[in-house]
Amino acid sequence: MRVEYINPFVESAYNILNEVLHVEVARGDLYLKSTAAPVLGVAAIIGLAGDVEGRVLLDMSRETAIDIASAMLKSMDMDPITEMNEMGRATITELANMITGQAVTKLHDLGFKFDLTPPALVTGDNMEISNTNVEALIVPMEMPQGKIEINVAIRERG
Amino acid sequence: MIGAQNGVTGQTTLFASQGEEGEQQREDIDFKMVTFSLGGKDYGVDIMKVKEIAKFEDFTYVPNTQPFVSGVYNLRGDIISVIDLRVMFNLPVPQRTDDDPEDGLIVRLDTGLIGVVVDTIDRVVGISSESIQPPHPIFADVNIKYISGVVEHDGRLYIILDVERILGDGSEEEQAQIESTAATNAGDALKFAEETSPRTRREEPEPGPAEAEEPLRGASSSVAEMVAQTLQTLTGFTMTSINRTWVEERLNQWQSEHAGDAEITTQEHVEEFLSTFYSPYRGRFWDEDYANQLKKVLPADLKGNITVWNPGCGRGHEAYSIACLVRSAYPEARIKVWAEDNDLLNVSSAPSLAFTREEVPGWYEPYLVEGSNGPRFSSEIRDSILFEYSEVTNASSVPPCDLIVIRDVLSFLSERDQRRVLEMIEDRAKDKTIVVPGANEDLLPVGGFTEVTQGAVRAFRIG
Repeated sequence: MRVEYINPFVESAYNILNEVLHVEVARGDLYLKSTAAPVLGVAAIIGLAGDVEGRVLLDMSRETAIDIASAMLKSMDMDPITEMNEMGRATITELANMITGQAVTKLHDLGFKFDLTPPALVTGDNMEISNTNVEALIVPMEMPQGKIEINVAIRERG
Repeated sequence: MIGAQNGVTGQTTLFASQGEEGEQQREDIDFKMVTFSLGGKDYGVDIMKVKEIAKFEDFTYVPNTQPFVSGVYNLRGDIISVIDLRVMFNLPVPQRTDDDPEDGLIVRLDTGLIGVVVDTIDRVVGISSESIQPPHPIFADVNIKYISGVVEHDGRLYIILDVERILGDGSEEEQAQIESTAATNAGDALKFAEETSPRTRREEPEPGPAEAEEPLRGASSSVAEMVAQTLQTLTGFTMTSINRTWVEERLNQWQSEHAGDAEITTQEHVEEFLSTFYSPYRGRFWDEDYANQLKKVLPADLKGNITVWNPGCGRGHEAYSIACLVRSAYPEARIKVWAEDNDLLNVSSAPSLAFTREEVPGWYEPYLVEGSNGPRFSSEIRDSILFEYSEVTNASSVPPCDLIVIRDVLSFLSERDQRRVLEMIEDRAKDKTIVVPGANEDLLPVGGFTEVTQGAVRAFRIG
């Protein structure tokens, strides 16, 4: 993936998670994955189009998703959730929107023009995601609620 | 250069040939082991079981596991379990500072990869399998069940561990036995800790007359195979048809340069062996001669869009040089250089590469502008290069190319990955695509290439 795209995603993931969860967030080492990759259980997907094509995937386990959604809801004086219900799904979707939105804004300031698709949330066990001919950058984020992997696959229009 | 960045880690050794004492009885070296110390004693593991030497940092701790499980580790995207053999065998674990990486091995088991933490990696030792003796319980603090033999080399006794038995899919009973071994050895280990400091590195012993030697003075191919096996384990350098000639010639040269002491026993030796492998102007700007030779290799009638693929671009010197060169050869063309590397730190700094005027030979002058922090490449050159963080073996979206500069990358990939990347090269070929591999990499044996080398620039045309 083009090196200019990396930092905006890392920074916005770090900033947004810190902001909404008010906890210590630790960034793991970045690495690359080839096309097919297993998904942990809850995945929010946002498509990118414009100068490039690709997608951002926020990947976490069901437990982590529930804990993170609860923490976000509590910070807004709302009731925490105990299962992945409508409110939980909406909250995780919004988190994906916030992270990707901020990253794309930063990229826009650098002169790269991306459009976003509305996020989609996918849940289930033993899922795998594959894109043809794009390798994915993995940004692992660790927090008390668990681990979120931000999986960014972007390719230039040739 | 991708492979070079993956780099050599650990205290390593390469066993080459001794060559001289022709009259002495010789042994055939047919067993190689990676040796390491655990609690001050020497152990070995069959080199065929060792995928690579590693430095472990930042384990992710996994709760509720056996105490010898250090955690899980991210090996370039693959998550592997890491165990600490010292804890497993209840040997003293030396104090260490937090940011010190741990020495270890990545071991290849039937069931997958596993990481093993040890005190220090020592060297690669070649022995004759006939000299391996069955274990005697007195030799180790390790249950005899996990020892496949004992061997003496250079006055040191090595205990050869059977990793498959220790780490393979054991039954519960076996696990229990490990623990009881650990318990009974606890006392010994404690005593041991008082006597020795396991971190102390020993002096390299003088090569003894009884040690195993290579059968021939000249580098026979079997000697080359042995050296190649060691190189692969320690540096990732893989001998295949593209670099076999170089390895064999280098081995002959090495033996005559190091007459009487051709054994390679230190990290420096390994690096020295490979030092003549690398292509010229690695990590710096090209002088005019080299640039002109590459220019002569390029087809005369290119126009329109020119696409270049440059895997292993490092900090970017190579990619900028290519962009300037192609620009000077085809002033009218639209140029796109896809430059990629798997070293995130290096490639991230490439778009804003800083340098001084003294570093840049004169022929770059038309493509430089004076910035606020010294010279930089003109926006025309910078905009023509796309730096990507990418693993060359992963799928990518690089379009068909006119020029592929892939210097010193293939040799540091496994044989399978070499084949995959060569296939990618073919997939990305156009009519007269030129491929520039490393100065000591020969694509002719691969088939499908015609050599068009000019001076120091080794180059091939596809087809």
